[in-house]
Amino acid sequence: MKLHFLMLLSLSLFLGCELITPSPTEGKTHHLAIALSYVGTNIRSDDYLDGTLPDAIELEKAFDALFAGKEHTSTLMLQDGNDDLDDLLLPTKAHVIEKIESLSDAMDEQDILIISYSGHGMEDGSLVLYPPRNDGSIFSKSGSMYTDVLLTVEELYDALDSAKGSVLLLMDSCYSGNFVLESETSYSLIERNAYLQKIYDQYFTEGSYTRPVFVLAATTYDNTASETASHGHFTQALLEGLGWDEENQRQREVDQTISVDYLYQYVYYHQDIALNSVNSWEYQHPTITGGPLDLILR
Amino acid sequence: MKGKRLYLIVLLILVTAGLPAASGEQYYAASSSLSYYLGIPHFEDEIPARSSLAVSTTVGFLGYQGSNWETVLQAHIYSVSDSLPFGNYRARGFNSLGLSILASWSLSDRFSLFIQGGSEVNFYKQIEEVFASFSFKLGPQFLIAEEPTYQMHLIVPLSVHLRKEITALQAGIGIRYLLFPFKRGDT
Repeated sequence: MKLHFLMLLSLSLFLGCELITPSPTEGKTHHLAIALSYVGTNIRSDDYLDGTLPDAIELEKAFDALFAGKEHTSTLMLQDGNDDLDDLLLPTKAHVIEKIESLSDAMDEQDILIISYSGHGMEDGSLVLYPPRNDGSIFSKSGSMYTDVLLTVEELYDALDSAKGSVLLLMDSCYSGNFVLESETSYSLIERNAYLQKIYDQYFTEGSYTRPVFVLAATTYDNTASETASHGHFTQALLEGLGWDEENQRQREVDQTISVDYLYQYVYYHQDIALNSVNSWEYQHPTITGGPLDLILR
Repeated sequence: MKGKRLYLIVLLILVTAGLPAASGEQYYAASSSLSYYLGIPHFEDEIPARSSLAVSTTVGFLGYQGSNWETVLQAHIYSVSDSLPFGNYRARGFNSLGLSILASWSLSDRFSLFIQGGSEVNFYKQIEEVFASFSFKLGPQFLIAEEPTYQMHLIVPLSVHLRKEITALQAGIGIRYLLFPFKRGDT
């Protein structure tokens, strides 16, 4: 009797749960694209961004094509110089938080929420959004930046608190690596040396893994990100990795599972800027959330 | 403190494995096995476990064989594939590099049991993150070929891979090859 029980237990273990558990019902996907050109604000015209709006628009098309035939919706929150504070899709801090909270609240367990951001980022990772003022001023007359334009890392994560499904942040901004929270169970080697002692210390620390908000960011926490005239370097490569043929405006065949790890690899090997260099403005290194799981998009 | 303890353990393993080797009957070993890898998460996941495929290769560089027992210090390399997709996720695949010590006891001329313990550093295949783990393996080994200079065994390893966030069970099959640089019996 005991032997039969053990055999049954072994068999149930080694049959593999994926093979005997019914697949969950496919969830909905939603893409929220946030992008700012800063035209019409009082930042220096040299700091206007040309690639951000095309980033958001093309990403929306790419995800529409990627999730064609599935329950997919998208929202564009763009700032392009023709801005009206009454427009709920103008990316002010209040509008962005409200939108993210409402999308998070509406999620079921199998849903995926993708949030992309193309715009300026501060040294602590904060996103620079449109000011809640009709004159579009980001800087005060004394030259200091208004804090009501900044959406911090913590505030964005707080807005995602109620999300029951999977969340992916695609961040194309300076210092966007700040959104990649350090893993409790693995040790990042990006621009760090691997000390055996630290790797083993992490094994014995008390932190544990919880399914995270997945982040794919253009750069590390301490480096800038840059753009060409048409796109951010990161988003340009990301669009290609998603299989989006921008020139012909169609989805090309990608003969493998499109996951966050796959996209990271694609950007890593195909971005049109060096991964490492002496001067920070000459390179950017993409970053990704660590841990044991990879999020599958298609 | 924990690090010092670790170095001490490694030193003890080296000394333990090195002493008998100096007295003769030394051998080198290599093994390769293919296993089913069942990762049981310690965190909330969509399913109780995720399935991957694991390939393991070991190179034993300090081995000693007695009359009915043997022990070897070895370097091991694992390669674990991405798991089967389920829901919105799959477990990330990784490669491992580590050190382990194996001991076996012969129960007959052709049949013996082995046990192995070790530790390794694991490198995720697609992202630049690493993690530490410990692994233990046991199983039967069957002598399928023997000459004065070598032995070949069929092995059926059952193992447990202790990661911080996952405990993985493995079952597989493989081959183990022992090479005796000095003719056995000579001193």
